[in-house]
Amino acid sequence: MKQYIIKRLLISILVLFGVSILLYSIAQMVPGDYVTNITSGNPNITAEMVEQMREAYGLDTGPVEGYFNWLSKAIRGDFGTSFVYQRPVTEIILDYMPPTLALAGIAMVLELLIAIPLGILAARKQYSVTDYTIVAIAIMGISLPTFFFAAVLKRIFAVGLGILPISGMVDARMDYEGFALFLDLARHFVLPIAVFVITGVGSYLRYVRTNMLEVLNADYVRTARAKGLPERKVIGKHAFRNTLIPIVTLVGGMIPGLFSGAVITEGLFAIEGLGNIALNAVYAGDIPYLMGFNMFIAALTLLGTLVSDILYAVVDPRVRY
Amino acid sequence: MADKAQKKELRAIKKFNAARYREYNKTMKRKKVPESKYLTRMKNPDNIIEFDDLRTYFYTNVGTVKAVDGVTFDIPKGKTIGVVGESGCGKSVTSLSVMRLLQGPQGQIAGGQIRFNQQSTGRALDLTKAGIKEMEKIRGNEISMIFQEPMTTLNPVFTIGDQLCECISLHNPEMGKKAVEERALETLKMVGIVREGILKNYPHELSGGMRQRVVIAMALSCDPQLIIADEPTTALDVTIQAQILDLLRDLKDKINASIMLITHDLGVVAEMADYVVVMYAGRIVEQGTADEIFHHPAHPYTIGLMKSRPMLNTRVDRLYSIPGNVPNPINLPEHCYFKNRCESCVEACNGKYPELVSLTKTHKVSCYLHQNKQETGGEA
Amino acid sequence: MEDMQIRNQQEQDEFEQKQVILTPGQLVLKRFFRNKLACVGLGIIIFMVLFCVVGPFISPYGEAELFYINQETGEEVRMDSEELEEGSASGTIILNGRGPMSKSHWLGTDAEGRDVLTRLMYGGRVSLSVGIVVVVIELFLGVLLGGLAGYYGGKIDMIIMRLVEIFNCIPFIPLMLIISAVMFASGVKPEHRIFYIMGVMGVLYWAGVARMVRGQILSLRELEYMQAAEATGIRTSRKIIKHLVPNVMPIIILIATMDMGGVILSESTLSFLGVGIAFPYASWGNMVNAVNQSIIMNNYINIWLPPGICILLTVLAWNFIGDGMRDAFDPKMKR
Repeated sequence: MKQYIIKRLLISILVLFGVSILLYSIAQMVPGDYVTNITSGNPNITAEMVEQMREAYGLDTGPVEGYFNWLSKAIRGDFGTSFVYQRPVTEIILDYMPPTLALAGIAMVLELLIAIPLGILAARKQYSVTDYTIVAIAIMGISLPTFFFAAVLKRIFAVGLGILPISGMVDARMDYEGFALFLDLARHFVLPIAVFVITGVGSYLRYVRTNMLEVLNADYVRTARAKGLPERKVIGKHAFRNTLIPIVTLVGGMIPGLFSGAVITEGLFAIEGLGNIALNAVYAGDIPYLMGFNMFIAALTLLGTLVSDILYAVVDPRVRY
Repeated sequence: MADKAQKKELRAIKKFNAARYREYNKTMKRKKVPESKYLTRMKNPDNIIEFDDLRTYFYTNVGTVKAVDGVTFDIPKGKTIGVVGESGCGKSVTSLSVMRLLQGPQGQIAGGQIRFNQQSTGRALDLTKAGIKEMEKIRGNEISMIFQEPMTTLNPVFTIGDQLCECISLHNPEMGKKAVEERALETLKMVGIVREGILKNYPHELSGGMRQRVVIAMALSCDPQLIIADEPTTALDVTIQAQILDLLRDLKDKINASIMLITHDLGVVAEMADYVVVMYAGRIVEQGTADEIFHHPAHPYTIGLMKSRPMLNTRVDRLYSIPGNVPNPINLPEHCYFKNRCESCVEACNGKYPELVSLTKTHKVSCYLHQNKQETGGEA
Repeated sequence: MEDMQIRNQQEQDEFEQKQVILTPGQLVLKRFFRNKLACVGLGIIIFMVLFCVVGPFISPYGEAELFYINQETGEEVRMDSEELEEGSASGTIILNGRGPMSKSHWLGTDAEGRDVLTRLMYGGRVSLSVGIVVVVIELFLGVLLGGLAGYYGGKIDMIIMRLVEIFNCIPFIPLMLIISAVMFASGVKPEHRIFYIMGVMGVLYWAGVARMVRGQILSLRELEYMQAAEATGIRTSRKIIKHLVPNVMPIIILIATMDMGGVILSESTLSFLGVGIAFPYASWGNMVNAVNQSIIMNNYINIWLPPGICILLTVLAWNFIGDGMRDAFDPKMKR
């Protein structure tokens, strides 16, 4: 087990290394006068910073040397300075992480809480009206463009009915504190999370359903019934324990999707999180921030995969590393 | 044009099936059914199970498959009955009908009775009508089942102990944890497993033969009155097969249960069974004592089966095989299903399906060749 | 006795002849068309293609044609008309922005005074062609690399699979953002952006295809008939073309249909965010973008709702088709 984790960890580091090369070479494609262009209109950028940036992207040295310079700093957690915020990228990521994590975390939990029971229900009632309805809703959710759905919801709930705020994180006119602040935050998060969950839950739901169907057709489920176990126990114990195995792998694979979703949702609802900053960074040409952001996600994804691999061994006794 | 007619037919089938499914969801899924609905009387109190004109159909998208169509036979107390026939003849479906484990709503019991002589309460139940709750009390407790595939019948994520004790404590709620475990070890010992720590093992840690022993132990654990063994040795290799058969034969003497042994292996039947039922395309073509079936087979199909098995001491260049194929299970013909493969069919075979004729008290056959012998054979 | 048997034989033969034996391809088609939702999906796609390809020829307006209105008479003035010059100078003729739905403009005009319905047609062209081009690129790369990895195994497999992992652990949208930033910085012309976007998306999507194709080939290689083919000693090229390709085809077709919806969705998201297809090209995504102006969101639903519904319908249709395909190819794996 220990050996396996170490091996996986080493592979993850290798992959992360590959990610950094990929990202760096994309960033490398900027033209030579890029730094001059981007800094020319910005009075906040000092000559010293310009120098730093030229160095960071190997514009002065060569791409290879530049990469290693960048890498040696990156390993120490230094991804350079953001143009827009004039602060180290790492600091910005840490500062703006909470809303993103809250959004993605709540969405993830809700998605699982919806996908697992509904997926199991649909599988148990295969070919019934319930099943068709659930699957149809799932496909609808998958096919809904997030931005369009967000607009429709905003139009209905914020503009039309006026019961929910249209965007932002807190009501700027009010000065809430304590529990009232929390309630205000919650009100602002209702629509983003609804959009996030409804457009995201479909694929997981179908995944759970497919796997549950497979398990329900397995011989050991029939054995459990032949023992005289009540249906509740057959499903809840024997079948569920087996679907847990693919679900665990699913959780590890959710992370990239969650961040893609977070970027869009934050942008749509003007939530001050990592994704929104990333969007603004695109327009401002803030490449250091984008690099840091992507590396951060890649690392998180690899961590997620690692954790789900370990969990896999916990849930499935057949797997022994 | 043919396409249109076909489409119309398919639509008709769909509509027909939908009605069946609705009915199934209304009636079969009921948890509790009033006793009066399923209490019956046994024809013979010495029987443990009586199949009476059992019909189990599968309503598929292309038509109704009559997997079991009018099967009638009895299982006497303490006896072993062998059910033989080639794949797809309805043997397994018959056994699943007893346990009510058919894949509903496609597969359902369309008619007939399965009368079960419940000794613990002294009642006779019609299993086709009993509610789910009642069935759950019977399954694994009074009627238990051994499945074909030992590799997949055990749940891979629970230990042997978990799965075995679950069954015991479910049907004996008064037993403590210790007692349950003891009972589990005892049954494992009965099937010849005396390994330290076996209860803590997972199924994947055991070999196929060992797993089948565990499955058998599970079936025995609650002292059932009837054990249904659905091809218990087919998936095992030959040496293990012999071991498992020996085990079953020993157990048969040790326990006081009837066994319904389903197999396509005539050798296994010859060794184990007291009575034999031969099935073909969902119907019984011949039934009788093992001696009658093996030494005086009457139906051309049974004769063919006997000829097609390898024999010691007789030299043949090549084993006999019955020509042709099993008929399509959808839209079976009116006449005898075996007619087109039969070597000795007569003009009468073009008529409707032959009725079951008694040759002796126990020996019955459904074939026109024997129709006129009925008078000399004994009572109907 | 004898003729009885002959008659039996004849009956049997007749029975066998009467049975219609379908080729696997026919079976798949038959099962596909039995699926109602898949047929609906196919219908929507055919409609969309007609709407986008033929529509512009029927529409009397151009994609970027602006409309003006004479404030005094309330008459519409077209971009190339002669009145425009004098009218706009005197201030009587102004841009007909956010025009209402009318006989001449079924869906009204957008904020810049362009006909929404016509732009919808052109936008559909962009969205559908982006979908097709991206899928072709991803399939080319994915099948090639996945095939190599699956067929040769060993070191090649190791390297390719690590590459796949690298691509898999960066989410699409954030990666697209950094690429867009670079594109902005490099000053790529907006009208060329569409080609870059297509290329980049194709390159980013290959990893998933490669993984599936590799898996399929690995499991195929284990099958007996592949080993039998190997045992006959036929040439590698023949083995691949005759035995491997026909069996990988279903999964390739499946990926193509399933990804079509996803690609169109991603493209529209990027265009909406302003990092994808941009002016002068219309794309359904950037048409919905108008919703960011609160006055349009509140009062001019006719501008942003139709393109959104178009995206939804198209993606939905592809998903239905993909689902139908999966069921048709593998009836056991029903959804």
